[in-house]
Amino acid sequence: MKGLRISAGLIVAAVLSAATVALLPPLLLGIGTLWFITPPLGLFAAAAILLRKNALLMLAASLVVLAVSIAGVLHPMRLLPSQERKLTATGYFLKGQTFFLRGDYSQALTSYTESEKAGFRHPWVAFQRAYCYNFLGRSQNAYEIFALLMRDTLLAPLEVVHLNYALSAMKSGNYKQGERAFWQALSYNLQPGYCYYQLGVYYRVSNNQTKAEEMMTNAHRLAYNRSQCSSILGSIAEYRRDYVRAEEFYHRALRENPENIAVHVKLGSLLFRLGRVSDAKQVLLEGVRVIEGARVFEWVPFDLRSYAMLLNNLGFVYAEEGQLAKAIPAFKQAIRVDPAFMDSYDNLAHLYIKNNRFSDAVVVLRAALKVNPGYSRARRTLDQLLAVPEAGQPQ
Amino acid sequence: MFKWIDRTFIKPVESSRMPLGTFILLAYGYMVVRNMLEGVLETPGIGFAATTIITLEILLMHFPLFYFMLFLVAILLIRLITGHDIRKVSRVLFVYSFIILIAPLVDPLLRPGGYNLAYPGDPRMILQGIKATFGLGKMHYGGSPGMLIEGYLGMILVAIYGCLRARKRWRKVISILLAPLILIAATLTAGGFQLVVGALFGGGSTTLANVYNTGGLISSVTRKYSLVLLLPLIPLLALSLWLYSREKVRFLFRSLKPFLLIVFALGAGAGFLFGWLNLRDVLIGVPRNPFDYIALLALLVLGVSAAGVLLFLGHGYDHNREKAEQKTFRRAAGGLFILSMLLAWCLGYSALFIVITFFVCGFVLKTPPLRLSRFTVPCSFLHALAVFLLVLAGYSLFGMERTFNLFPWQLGLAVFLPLWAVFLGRELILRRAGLKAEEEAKE
Repeated sequence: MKGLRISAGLIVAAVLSAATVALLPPLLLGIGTLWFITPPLGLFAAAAILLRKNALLMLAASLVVLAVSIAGVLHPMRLLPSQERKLTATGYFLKGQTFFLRGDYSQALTSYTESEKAGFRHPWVAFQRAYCYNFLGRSQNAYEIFALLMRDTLLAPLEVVHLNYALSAMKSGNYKQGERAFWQALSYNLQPGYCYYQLGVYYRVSNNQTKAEEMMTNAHRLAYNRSQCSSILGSIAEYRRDYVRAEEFYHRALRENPENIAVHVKLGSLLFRLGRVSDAKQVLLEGVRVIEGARVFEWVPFDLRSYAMLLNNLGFVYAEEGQLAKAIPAFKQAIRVDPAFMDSYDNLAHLYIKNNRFSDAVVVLRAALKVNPGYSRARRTLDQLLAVPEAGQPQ
Repeated sequence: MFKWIDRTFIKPVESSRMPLGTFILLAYGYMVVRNMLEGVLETPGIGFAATTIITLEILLMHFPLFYFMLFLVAILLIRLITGHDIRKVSRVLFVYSFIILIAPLVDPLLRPGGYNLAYPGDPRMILQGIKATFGLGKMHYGGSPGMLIEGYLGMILVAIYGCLRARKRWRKVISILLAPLILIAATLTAGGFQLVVGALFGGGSTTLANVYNTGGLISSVTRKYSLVLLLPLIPLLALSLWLYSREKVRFLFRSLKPFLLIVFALGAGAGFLFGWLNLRDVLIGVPRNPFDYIALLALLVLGVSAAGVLLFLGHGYDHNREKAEQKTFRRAAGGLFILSMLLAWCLGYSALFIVITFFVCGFVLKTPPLRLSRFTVPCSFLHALAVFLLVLAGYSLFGMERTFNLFPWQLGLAVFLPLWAVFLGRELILRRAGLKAEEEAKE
């Protein structure tokens, strides 16, 4: 009796399999080609069940999945307009994410905007858009979106939005809002080290050195980017003409991160001004060694501007020592590393002038003006060198 | 001297009765400590990322996979050179792998703030390290004096161990001569994948570091790197398990049902295809990235391993089987479970959550107290659901968190219902064959 029941079950299963495999895919997906593929597969599945061949049945299942996939490649599925809209919106969002991860923020922004237009109105899309604006330097746009998200903490998590809001406020010139937001973030205990650091930068720019020092000290205590904090504390001490402390801070910054090139530049410059030319040279050369080590492997990032400044300062030190043969290549290398760093042209030109190599100076100054036609110092020096009267004056 | 080393340090470890899992856990402990120390004492501070989830990815996937790859390559090479029992080799290697702690402890002593450690993904780094050893230069990036000490110490230990354990004289000579090669091979295997991926897919325009910063379906750099390590690790693991116990591996392979595995793998791959089909009008950037295709491969492997878990769980709780067999199946299921979870995590969080749901279905289906595989309809339903969840896992690479919301219901029904019918037929055939009826009768 039991055996008979199972046989009946097998027949029912065979019929069900045949029907679902044969009819459902073409009916539901609206792909006509499937009418020619799935009915034979349905019969194949039914036969496998009746023959009690599990391997054949699994093969039938695999073929069904393959058939649906291949038919989908050849013919579009029939979807409802609402489904199409949802898919388009998500597609644009995904496209935006891809561009965003590649660092192409302009394309990412376009895709996010398209996604919102297609109906994906999620705070995360707005957040990503604001993030792109920030990277593209359009801080005011970013600030407006973050401000909107800040109005309702249910829209996006506080810890994500708050700090971005504060930073975009600072960058877009809404300093008071930014300052308030960072203090508020501190009261929420949202990355306090970062908040103190940003407040320190703000107070330093707004010339409140006492508060800047306090904030940077706090950030340093909280272990946020210690080397950078020490470096800024050194700059503050230097601003106050407390050179001993400044030197201490710079040395601490280098202990905390020997690869911080900006500190090599600052310390070298300080020591040079203090008349300790040999010490300055040592610090600058160490910085160059660090960068040279990093340059071996192209994937180690370093700041080109800092490198150019380092070489420029080194050129200065060599010039002071009267080592013309080393000073000139240092300046030239600084120009090669960062052609937009105009000080190197200026210094090299003046070195040439000092050594009566006027034609070389002219070449350098012309190169500077080619890079930046509005660079007035080079224009002035060049005019003086060529003794060209000011425009409008009678010849 | 060597006999004393053997008697005191090697033999007690080799003859230990602790299970292999304990040794692996011990090595994992060293890795975690190293990460933490690196985070505090070395320059990049990579042990502690600002984002919790990134720290978790680093602690649970990225670094363990790197070290296990390194250890596994070393174990296999030592085994092949010395011909010594792989169980003993792995025990010794895992116990003395604490030498990985040297770098973060030594580096800060030599330079406050430590060094900028990196994978030796560039042969020039290794060359620079060797030159630095002889005072012919300085190591700036990618390596540190601590790493050099680790490397040389590891090499000496491998040479001593190989010499002690190789039975024939020629093997002893080879193991001493090839000790540096083992180290270089192991190091390049771990760091070299970056090179290989860069060379194959970088197209000359992408620098080595940027190979992973290329967007695509797998968004996280650390997950991309983990996946690149995990996929080659699978055949290496299979090879070492084969050397570990041929009978058990052969037995496990024979218990697999290839057609069932194909259905599950195809399900995962079809999900990927459906996602692309639904979004191809909009997307131009995917699948184009090399990691998108690696993700597709990982999905297929995920399908196979997840199906393997279900199969082995079923056998592991099959009362008709002997206790020893049950234990083997359960262990294999555990291993494949970890592998599947890692693969799913590498693919994305949405995929991971969907695969967790898949395993909930699997446990309900195969393990006591519920063990719904006893009943025809729930069993077939859950099998079909499991395959369908893998379809969704594939789709989630495109649909992300919105997968359930986006997946067209028509497509869902067109896939799920035929699968259910087919699995219903399969269950009935199995019962007809008397396998399950016997099992129920025994119960």
